[in-house]
Amino acid sequence: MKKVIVFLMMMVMIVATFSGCGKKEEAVEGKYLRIAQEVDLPSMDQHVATDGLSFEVIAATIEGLYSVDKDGTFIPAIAKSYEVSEDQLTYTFTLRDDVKWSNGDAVTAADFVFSWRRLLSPEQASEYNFIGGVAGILNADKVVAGEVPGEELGVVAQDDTTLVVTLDRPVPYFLSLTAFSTFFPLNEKFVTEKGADYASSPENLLANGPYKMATWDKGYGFRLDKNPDYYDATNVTIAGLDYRVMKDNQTATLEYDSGNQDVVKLAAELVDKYKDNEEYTQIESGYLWYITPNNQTEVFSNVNVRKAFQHAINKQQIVDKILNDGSNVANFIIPIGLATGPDGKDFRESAGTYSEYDVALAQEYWTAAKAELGDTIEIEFLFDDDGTVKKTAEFIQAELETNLPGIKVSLKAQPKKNRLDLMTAGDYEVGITRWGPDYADPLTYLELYLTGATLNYPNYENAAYDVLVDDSGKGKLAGDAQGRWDAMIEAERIFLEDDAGITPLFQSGYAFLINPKVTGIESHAVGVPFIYKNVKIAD
Amino acid sequence: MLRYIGKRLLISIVTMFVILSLLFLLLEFMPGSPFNDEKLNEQQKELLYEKYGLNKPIHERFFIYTTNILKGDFGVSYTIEKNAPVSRMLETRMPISIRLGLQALVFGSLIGVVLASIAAVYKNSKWDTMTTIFAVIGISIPSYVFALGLSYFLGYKLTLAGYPIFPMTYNLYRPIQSSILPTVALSMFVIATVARFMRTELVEVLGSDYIMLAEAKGLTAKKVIFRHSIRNALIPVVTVLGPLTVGLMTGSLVIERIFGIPGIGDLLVTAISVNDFNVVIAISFFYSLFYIIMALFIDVIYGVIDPRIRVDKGGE
Repeated sequence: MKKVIVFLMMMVMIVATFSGCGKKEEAVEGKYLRIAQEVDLPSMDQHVATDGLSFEVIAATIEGLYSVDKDGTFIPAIAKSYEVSEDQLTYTFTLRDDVKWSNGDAVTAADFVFSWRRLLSPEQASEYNFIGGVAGILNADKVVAGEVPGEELGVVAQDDTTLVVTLDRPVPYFLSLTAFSTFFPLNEKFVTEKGADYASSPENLLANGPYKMATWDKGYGFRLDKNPDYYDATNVTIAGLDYRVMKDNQTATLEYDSGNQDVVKLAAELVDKYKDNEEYTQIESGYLWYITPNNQTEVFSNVNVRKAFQHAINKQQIVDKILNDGSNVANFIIPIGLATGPDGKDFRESAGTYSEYDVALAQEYWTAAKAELGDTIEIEFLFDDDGTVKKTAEFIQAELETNLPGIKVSLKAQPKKNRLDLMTAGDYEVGITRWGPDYADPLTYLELYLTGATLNYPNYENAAYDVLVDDSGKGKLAGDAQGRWDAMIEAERIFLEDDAGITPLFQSGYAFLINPKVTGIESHAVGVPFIYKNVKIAD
Repeated sequence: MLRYIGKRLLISIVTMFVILSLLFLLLEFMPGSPFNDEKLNEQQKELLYEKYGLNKPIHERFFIYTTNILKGDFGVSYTIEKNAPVSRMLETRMPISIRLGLQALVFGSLIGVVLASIAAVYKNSKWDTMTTIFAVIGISIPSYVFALGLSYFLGYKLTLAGYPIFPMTYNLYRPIQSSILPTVALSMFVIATVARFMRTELVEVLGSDYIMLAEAKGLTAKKVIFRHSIRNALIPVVTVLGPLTVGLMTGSLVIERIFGIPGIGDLLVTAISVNDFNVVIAISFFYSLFYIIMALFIDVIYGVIDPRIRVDKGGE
């Protein structure tokens, strides 16, 4: 008995020892915006990060050349202004001279040069290094491949406040990329000194933006305090951002209800309960989910089959019954909120809608298709082996078999990696995929379907489409804002209406609960998902 | 005794090696990739695989993997905390999980023993029936159900002047108060298991000849129960410590998620879902190691509690 007691007491003592791990919290005076987050913060290193949360927190602490306002317009940040050469190939940025890193160093043009070279260096092997080529920076892809040294990258610091960027082709959306976290500056001295430890904890980070990281308890949460040295600090009115990792959605929502959190993402099953409340907020993300038919197969090379597909599926049901998470039906490929045209309007306001649900129309096309292909048509439907996608696929199967008599749909679930491999190789008939934008321009979608493009899963080929897209990208329309805009609207129409290249399903979104006292959270479908600089919290 | 422990130790090491190899193979065949596959081209993928040494042949990687683990190097995380050494990730999370597990084990065992004693002494009374019902419920209902119930009724509903008495979520800065609910939720299984085993054993012990003798000698009921019965009845309880530890570990996977506890259970669940292979391997390694050490420990403590076993082994 005595030994058992000793054993138990030993246990109690161990427990007591570990309990001593509790830490003290020191916060700044004032109100914090409390954000419940489903995932840990993967990285504070902008050249390691690949996810929205990391990009958003990095953007809260570091500013780039340009930033983006709540309407999606690009506004000067560290750059005061810029000039573009006539051939659209040289951008000269003039930087502010009053921006400081949190260690006191000035932010200079050299910080951008260092950062961009680091992003593309083969040693860094950043998962986002493809973006250098997307931005069209001279020699970007060659630097990544190790063919030329970083010094030959098309970015030069002429002096402390002048940054000159040379592109290899006109890139109409180049400015939008300067507002994206990967292109933010880095202090070379600090980053080199910290080495592998850079960005691993608040002590190993520098800020030049509205907030700076104060605590980071891995897996638990992190806190950003207002940065008093920020050049625009007077316009930052809250004490900071307090992130707490809560992987269980129910718990997070209960904490919101108890007044312990200000921002919480809702799970699909809770949406109905809160849908009518004031604090319920839907936020669009840039992801477009769509059915991609392989236009090279016998069945789907038939345009009537593809058109029948476009109209045969009740997407509203998918959005309301299966997802119920703030996603919206998509009858287009360029998502809402992705890009603003020269007229200041969203692309979607100027472009049309296509592929609406219409069973009668679908059956008309289907009858025409059957006249050409025969009475029974069997297809194999490929999709990711994942809960929601699977449900969506099953629903589509049912819709097709009900609305298109004579079709037989067999389902083929694959792990995502395999699914991507099959689609890239063109070794499939039809399936579900998605695409998230890399930059705020319709081209990020339209270029996917150029003849022979790697990610052209539908294997779409149309010379007229190619011309329109090429012209508005690097071609003759690159310098003509309105002309290229019209061309892109027309390209989308050809792709969806004339050729039914794909069947769009929905634009994914998120349902949030946001404390009504909080205003000024700016969300964006592309680039940095949330910007918190202008947040205000009422009493 | 020493030879016995040595033999057990050897078996443990071999088991560990087998587990490691199986883990490696399983993850090798797991579909998916930790990288941003959709956007990367072949060349960029190659760069990444090169960086993390994933493009070497499988036998070479297995060799690197085992030698690194022996050196305490579990590699870096691919997704959860990109490029952070896994050992550093575990450093902060492991103590939290261990503490929670121990709290549940200690609390659960104590309550379990008390319940069992009451049930056995008042055999066939309503107390006995209640304990049995409790034990059945505790074993058959998974701990996350308790967790959800506790967090809703005690954490969310029960407030004192507007303030919650038991916080719904873990607070790193107030670890004692905020770990009450998760500890209770996690210990249900322990209470039930201990109570069930202990009661059966106690009933048997209480009916045995030597207890009758003790009573006949005129010892007080207190002495009979505490000195003679509980100690003997504890032996089977020690044998269930192994399964209990496993129960605690699997329980913690969900409990940590529900209460927002930054421990390794929660980390493992996340790591599996995002293909963070190195993290999965490291945590599984520690879980296995812990279980094997526990098994070894039980074998040894068995001898301590029951002198007959000690004598037997000592006589070898």
